[in-house]
Amino acid sequence: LDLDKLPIKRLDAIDEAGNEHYPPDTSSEEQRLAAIRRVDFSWVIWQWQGLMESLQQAQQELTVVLDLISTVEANDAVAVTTTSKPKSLPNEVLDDMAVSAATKLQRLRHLGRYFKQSAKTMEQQFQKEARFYGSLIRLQQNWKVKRHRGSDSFMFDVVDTSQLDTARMSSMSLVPIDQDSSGTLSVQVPQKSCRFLSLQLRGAAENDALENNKSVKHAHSILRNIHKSIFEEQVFDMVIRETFVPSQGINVTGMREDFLQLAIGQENLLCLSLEHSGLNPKSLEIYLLHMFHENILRKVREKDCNLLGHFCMTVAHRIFSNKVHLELESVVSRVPYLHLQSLPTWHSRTSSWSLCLRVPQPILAADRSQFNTKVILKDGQISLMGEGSPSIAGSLTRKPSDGYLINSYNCDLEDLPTMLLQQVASQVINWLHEEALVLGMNVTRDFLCLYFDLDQGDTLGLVAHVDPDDAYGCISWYLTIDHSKDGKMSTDRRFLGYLSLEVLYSTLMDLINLCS
Amino acid sequence: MSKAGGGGGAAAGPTAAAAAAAAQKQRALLQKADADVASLVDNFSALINIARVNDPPVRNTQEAFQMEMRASRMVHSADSLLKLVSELKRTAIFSGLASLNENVDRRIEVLSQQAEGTDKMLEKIGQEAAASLKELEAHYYSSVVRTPLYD
Repeated sequence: LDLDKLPIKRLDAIDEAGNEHYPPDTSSEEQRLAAIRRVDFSWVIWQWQGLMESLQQAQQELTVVLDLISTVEANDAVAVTTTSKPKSLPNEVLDDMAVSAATKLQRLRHLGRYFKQSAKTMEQQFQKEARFYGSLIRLQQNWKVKRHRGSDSFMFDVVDTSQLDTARMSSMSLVPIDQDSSGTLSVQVPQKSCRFLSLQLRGAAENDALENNKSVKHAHSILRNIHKSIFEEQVFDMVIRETFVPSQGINVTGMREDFLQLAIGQENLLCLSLEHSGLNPKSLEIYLLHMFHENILRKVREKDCNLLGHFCMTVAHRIFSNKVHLELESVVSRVPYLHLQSLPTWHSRTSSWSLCLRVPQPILAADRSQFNTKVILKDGQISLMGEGSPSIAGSLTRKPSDGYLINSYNCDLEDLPTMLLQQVASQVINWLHEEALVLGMNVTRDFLCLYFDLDQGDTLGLVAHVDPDDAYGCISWYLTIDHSKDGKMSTDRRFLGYLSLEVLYSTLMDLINLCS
Repeated sequence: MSKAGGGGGAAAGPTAAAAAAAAQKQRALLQKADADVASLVDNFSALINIARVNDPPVRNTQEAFQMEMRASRMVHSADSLLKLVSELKRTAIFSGLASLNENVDRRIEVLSQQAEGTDKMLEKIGQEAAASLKELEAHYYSSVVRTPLYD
C-alpha cells in the first residue's frame, strides 16, 4: 500500500532568518514521469521472464557452441563440416508420410464435425425463422403489423387508433407477438382484456373458457376476438355516455365500471355488462351491436338520433308485445271462429296482428267471407282497426276500396280483450243482419243485438254477450223477448250457449221462418 | 414503423430521399451478399489447398491452425448470409404496401358483397319465416284441435 502525499506545499526548512523554504515546483513533465515510474509493470515482466530466460540461455549455448567451433577450427585439429540428417530409408519416408496423412485426416474429420454441427444449428435457426416469418406474412394479409419501438419484435395493431378515444382501449389495441423455441408464432392476449358485451333481462350469465392449440388459425381467432372485444367495449362506453343525457322513461338504477342497469318504464329492468363470456348473444344484443356498428364504424349516423333511447324503446316494445300476444291468443283460443294471424312489420318498435272472423259461406249473399280486426302496437300504444260495423266507441272512416266502414280506436291492455270481443261480436251481428236483409226480412240491429218484430208488438232479440274471463267461450248468445202487453213491458231472456256460426245461421233461419 | 423496402415496389409514394435511401440499402445488401459468398468461396478453396498432404518438411501444426481459421470464417460468412435473409424478410413485411393495399381493397370488396348477400339472405329468410308462420297459423286455427267439443 502506498499513499500519496497531499499535493500541498510542505515546508522543507526554515532558516535562521525565518524565511521558509519550500521544495521547488516540479514541472508537469517531471510529474508525469514520476507517475509513470510509480506504475508497477512487474507483473508483465514476470510473464515474459521465462521467455527472456530461455532466449538468454539459448544465446549462451549458441555462443558456447560457436566458440567451440572457432576454437577447434583455430586449432586446426579438425575441420568441421556441416552434416545433415541422413537420407531416410524408404520405409521411413512412407512412415512419415503416413503419419502426416493421418494427422491431416484427423484434422479434416474434426473440421467435418464442426461443419455438420454448424449446418444443423443454422438449419434449425433458418426453419425457426421461416416458420415465424411465414406465419407473420400470412397474418399480415388481414392484420396490421407494427415494429415494437426499439427492439426487434413485432405487434399487431388491431384497431385504427383514430377511432378510439379512451386510454383503456388503446392499450388493448396493440397485441404483442411472441415466438416459441420452434419458431411458431403466438399472440399474447393481455390479461383481463378480452371482454364481451352481455345483455340480460334479469338473468344470470354463464362463464366459459376456451382452450386451443397454437396455429395461424388460432392467432386469427384471438385477434378477431380482441377486435370484437374492443368494439363491444366502445359500444358499452357509448351507451354509458348516452345515459348522461336524461331521456324519458329510462332511468339508470345501477352503474359500475363494467355494468349498467336501466329501468325502462315501471316494470322492465335491463342489465348491460362487460364480461368474459361472450357466448350466446340474444337477438337484442345483436340488434344493439348492429345499431352501434352502423354508427361507429360506418358513420351513417343521422343527426340527433338517440340510439340508447331507441334501443330501450325497442326492448320495452318487445316485452309489451309479448304480453299483447298472450292476451290475443287467450281470447282467440276461446272463440272458435276467430283466427289469429301475426303480421310481420319489419320494424323494431311496431307489431301487428289480425283477428280474422270467418263466416260460413252463405248461399245467398256472395259477399265477403271474412271480417278482419287489426291490432297494431306502436311502442306501447295499442290501436284497433275493425272492419264491418259501426260501434259506439270510435271514429268511423270509410274505406274506399270495398265500401266497408272501419273503426279505429286506441285502448289499454286491460281493455283490449273486451274491445276486441265487442268488435267481433258486432261483426257477427252485422253479418247476420246482412243475411237477413238479403232474405227480405225486416230486421233492425243495435250494437250487439239483432231485433225481429213479432206480431202483437213483441220484439224478438238475438243478443251477443261478451265476457273475456269466461272459461268456456268469450262470446255467448241470448234470446230475448220483449212483451208489450197492456202497456206493460216485460222481458224474458233465454241463454242459448256458445254458438258456432253455423248454428247461429240456422237459428237465424228458424227465427226468420218464425217471424214471417 | 414501416420503412420503404428494397426494390421496385416503392416507386409511387415515398419521396426522392426515401427512394435514394432504398436504392442505397439495396446496393449495400447486394455488396454484403457478394462479399459473403466470395468469402465462402475463398476460404473453401484455401481449405482444400491446405488439405493436401505435403512432402516433408511438414508444417502440420501451422496448417491445422490455418484450417481451423478458414473453417471458422466460412461458418461466419454463412451465418452472415442467414442474417441477411432475415433482414430481407423483415423488410418485406414493411414494404410492398401497394400490393397489401390492393389486397385489403379486394378483401373489403369481397366482404361487402358477402355482407350484402347476407342481408339479402336474411330478408329472404324473414319472408320465408313470415310465409311459414302464416301457413302454420292458418292450419292450426282451422284444425280439429280448435273445434270445440260442445256445440
